[in-house]
This record gives sequence, C-alpha cells and structure tokens, in this order.
Amino acid sequence: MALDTGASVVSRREDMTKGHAERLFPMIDAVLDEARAAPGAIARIAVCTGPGSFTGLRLGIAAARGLALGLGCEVVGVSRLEALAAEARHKAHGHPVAVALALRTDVAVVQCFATDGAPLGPPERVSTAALESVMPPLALRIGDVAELRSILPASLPDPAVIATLGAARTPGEPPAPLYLRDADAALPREAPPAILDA
Amino acid sequence: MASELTILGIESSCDETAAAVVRARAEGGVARGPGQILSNAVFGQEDLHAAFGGVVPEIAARAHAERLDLVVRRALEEAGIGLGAVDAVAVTSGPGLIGGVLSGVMAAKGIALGAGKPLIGVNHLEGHALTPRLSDGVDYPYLLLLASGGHCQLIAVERLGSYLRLGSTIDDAPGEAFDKVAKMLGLGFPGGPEVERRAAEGDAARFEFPRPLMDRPGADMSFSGLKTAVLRARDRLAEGQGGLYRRDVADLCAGFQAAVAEVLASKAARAMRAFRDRYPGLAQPVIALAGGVAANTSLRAGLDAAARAEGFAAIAPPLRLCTDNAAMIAWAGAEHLLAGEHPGAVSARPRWPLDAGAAPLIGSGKKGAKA
Repeated sequence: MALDTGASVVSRREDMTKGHAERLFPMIDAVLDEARAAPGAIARIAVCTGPGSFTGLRLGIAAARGLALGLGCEVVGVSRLEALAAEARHKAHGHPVAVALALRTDVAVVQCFATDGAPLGPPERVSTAALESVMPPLALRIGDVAELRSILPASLPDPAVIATLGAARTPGEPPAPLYLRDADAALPREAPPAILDA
Repeated sequence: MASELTILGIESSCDETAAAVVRARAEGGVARGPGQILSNAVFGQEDLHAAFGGVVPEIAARAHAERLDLVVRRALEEAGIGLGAVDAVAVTSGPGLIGGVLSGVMAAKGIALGAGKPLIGVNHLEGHALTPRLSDGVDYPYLLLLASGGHCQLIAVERLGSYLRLGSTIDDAPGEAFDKVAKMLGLGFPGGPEVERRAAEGDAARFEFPRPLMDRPGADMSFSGLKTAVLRARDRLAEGQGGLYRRDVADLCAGFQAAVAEVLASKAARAMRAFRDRYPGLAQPVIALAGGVAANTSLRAGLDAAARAEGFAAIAPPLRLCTDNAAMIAWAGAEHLLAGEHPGAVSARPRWPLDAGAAPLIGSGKKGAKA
C-alpha cells in the first residue's frame, strides 16, 4: 500500500497468504497517519486488478471502490502486469518489456509493452510452450514462468508504482479483477427426463 | 444515540447484491416500528446462476465485488439523499457465502471510512428475524418462521439480541429442496415459482411422499429425504415410460409441495404451542414469516390455517422484505444503535448462529455451527 502525496511517497507492505481482509483498513489508517493526511485528502485511489488470488483481488477492489464512493473521489485499476513492466523498464535499455506470469502449471498470462510503456496488446492467456512465440524479439522478460529461459524474476508489484501509474491514467470503467479464466462451476451432469407430451 | 437514525444497509451474503436506506426511531431506547424505507435496491443474480440450477459461490462472489458500490449509489439516488445525510452504515457480516460477505464488509468499511460514518456488522439471520418490526411494527416477543433457500428455522424473537431457536431443519432448507426438485424435473432456476405453478395443475395424492420427522417430538424438520423420494419416483416413471408426461411433472410437484406444506405447518404449530407455554400472558401472539418461501401461496395457506387453529396472528411482510434485501440489515443495525450499542470491529463470519446457545444441527464442523 502506498500514498503518493506528490511531494513524497509513504509505502507499506506485508506479505501474507491470508488475513488481507483484517489488515487492509488498519494499513490504510497507518499510511495516512504516517503521511499526516486525512482520508479526505485522497484525490484518487489506484487498486491492483491482478492477476492474483481471486479473493485477494475482490477484497482490494471492493474496498477501493467503496472508499472512492465514500470519499467521492476517482478510482482506477492497474494490473500487476503493467506495474511489473513499469518497474522493469529502466533495465530494458530501449527494448520492449514482456511480462509473463504463471497461472497454472502449463498456462501463463503474457502482456508486452513498448519502450514508452504503452501496452502492445491486451493480456493474453497462452500455454507456456507457446510463450516464446508471442514475445517480441529482444524484449526484456520478467515474470515467474520457470519454463521460460532468461527471465528476470518478479513477484508482487511495488504499491508506489501502482500509485504512480494510477495517477497518470484517465478514469474510465470502474476497476474489476483480472481473472483470466471462467468461474469454476459444473453444469448439471445429467439432463432431466424427456417430456413425452411437450 | 439519537432517537431517530437514517441508516444505509448493505447485503451480499448469497445471490442478491442489495443496498437500502431506512429511517428508524426509538422510544425509551427501543426502536419502534414500522421503519421508513427510503429505498430498497436489489441487484439479483438469477440469470448468472440459472444454467447451473443453483447458486455458484464463485460466480456470486465475482458479481458482488463489482456491484456493491453501484447498488449503494442506486439506493442513495432512490432515497434522494447523499452519504452526508446518513447516520451510520450497517452491513451483513455473516452468516453466508464468504466471498460475498467479505466483499460487502470491505466495501462497507471503505464507504464508512470515506464518509466518516460509524459501521455496524449485522447478522443476516437477525435481519430476517427483525423484519416484522420494520414492516409491521410488531412488538417483542413473537415467533418467526424463516424459510428460504438457505435457512429454515423457527425462532422465538424475545427481544433485541435474544433469539431462542425452537426448531430448525437438520439438513436442506425448503427453498433448496424446491430448487433441487425443479432441477430434476427440468423446470429451471430458481425453482419455487415454477414448481408451485405446476403443482397447481397436479394431483397431490398420486404420490405418497414422506413427511420427515413428523413422528418425532419437537419442531425440527428435514427436507433432504423428501427430495430423494421425489427423485426415486421420477426415476421409476422415467424408466417405465421412457420419459415423463406433463401430468407426471404436475403430480410430482403437487405431491412434493403438499409434503413441504404439511411439515412446515405442523412443525410451526408445535413451535406455536412451545412459544405460548413460554409466554402464556400474551393477548395476541404473533407468528411472522420471513424468507422467499413466504412467496408460495400454498405453503402460506397451510401456515395461516395452523396459526388460526393455534390462536396466533400470522404476519407476512411484503415479499421484497421477505427475500434477501438490505432494508432489513439497515433496520437491524438501527435497532442496535438506537439501543445505545457502540459499533465494534466488523469482520466477516461465514458461520454465525443466531441462537448461540442452541445445539448445532447442521454444518457443524470444528469451526462451529453454521447458522
């Protein structure tokens, strides 16, 4: 979590596999306290849209949208892919950046960004075997896909980067989680008996 | 706390994303109904779950997370007020599907922090339990039958915060049984309205379905075996004739619905007698209905007849207050605040029995009783 006041950035981070729901609002209080800012001073909220844990994303996004409504301020979404690309750009030496994150054992999401940071396309789900073929030549690769050669490791984005990217964005549709897959739900296995006099 | 409050309520514990603005007033530290419902907005999800024949938790969670702020905006617009005119925010913090409850709690915390309002967590079941006070200004104590897709309980609502469970289903809720019967007969989701429509054309006496737990004392109920009995009857017919005739579907629905009606009415009658023993001095005892099952005319008729026979007045709030909604959550929050309670920390509780002293009957693992 980060608060960008324009003059300085106050940032906090706790790595946890659960407990986000309990920690999120105390952290918001702590960051505001440290920056000596009141909630009313927030002009815009930027929230990470993932990909990531579905529950974690929903918590963050529901809280961000609720807080924006309460404050009457803007809210924008920034994906983990965009944030990781922005963080890595200074290492790319004028080349594009490709971010690849593992979704399951053999499936990843990939998104490529031009040298100015603009996305070259939307996030795409691809099999890890096909990853090489969708990346621009000479692109700097970052992510967590073990099968990919020469890739800079990356895990979670810096919240200050999410704030910076969010500040530069034009608000549009309210942020929604980047699930990249349909909900797990099984359609009924057996059809009901035929109606003989339908 | 002031003697009049305007409360924003938020509900997302199952498959309705809802927000409402309710004004409540108190006399002598006790809320006095009926409340004034300034708005009662509900974004349903039936279309999202229809193909699956039941509520899919992940689909529900996805929808809630992206609709909570929108439904709150709608409720404020319909009430014609801004957040500044709201005294407090009340949110369902359990029991229910954890994905929706969590998103509701987080959105409510954000709204409360942003608008500088106190936040109170409300038990969803208490919202249902107090609805007769919101809708009809019923005084404590009264008997409540909550029968819905997720719950089935007979509760003595003694006073705010004091609920005595007189009976409960030990397995499925009746609304769930209606949905499952609809699914096995290909009648769509939610099943209640269509099963009722088909039942109206059917012969309830053609199939002899069981009346579970009628042979046992007390007001506990069971609907799972009944549902299985319908499935067996369906299979026997389908095997013999290679399918079902419309007549068969109607008769199965009628037989099933009659069994549910009889169980509910006779168990409610037992609870009415237990309630009267506990409160012998009440001039006019009241049994109130809550939950979507109150929409079924035939079940309602059975309960009304049982109430008449036991000397109870039967009260059924309007259907939009019987099914899941946020006006009941706002009202329950208002009752607590008007009683002088201070809002404490709010966290999501997937399991949260209304009567904490009652022995768990269903879904009680190491995490405790569900509801």
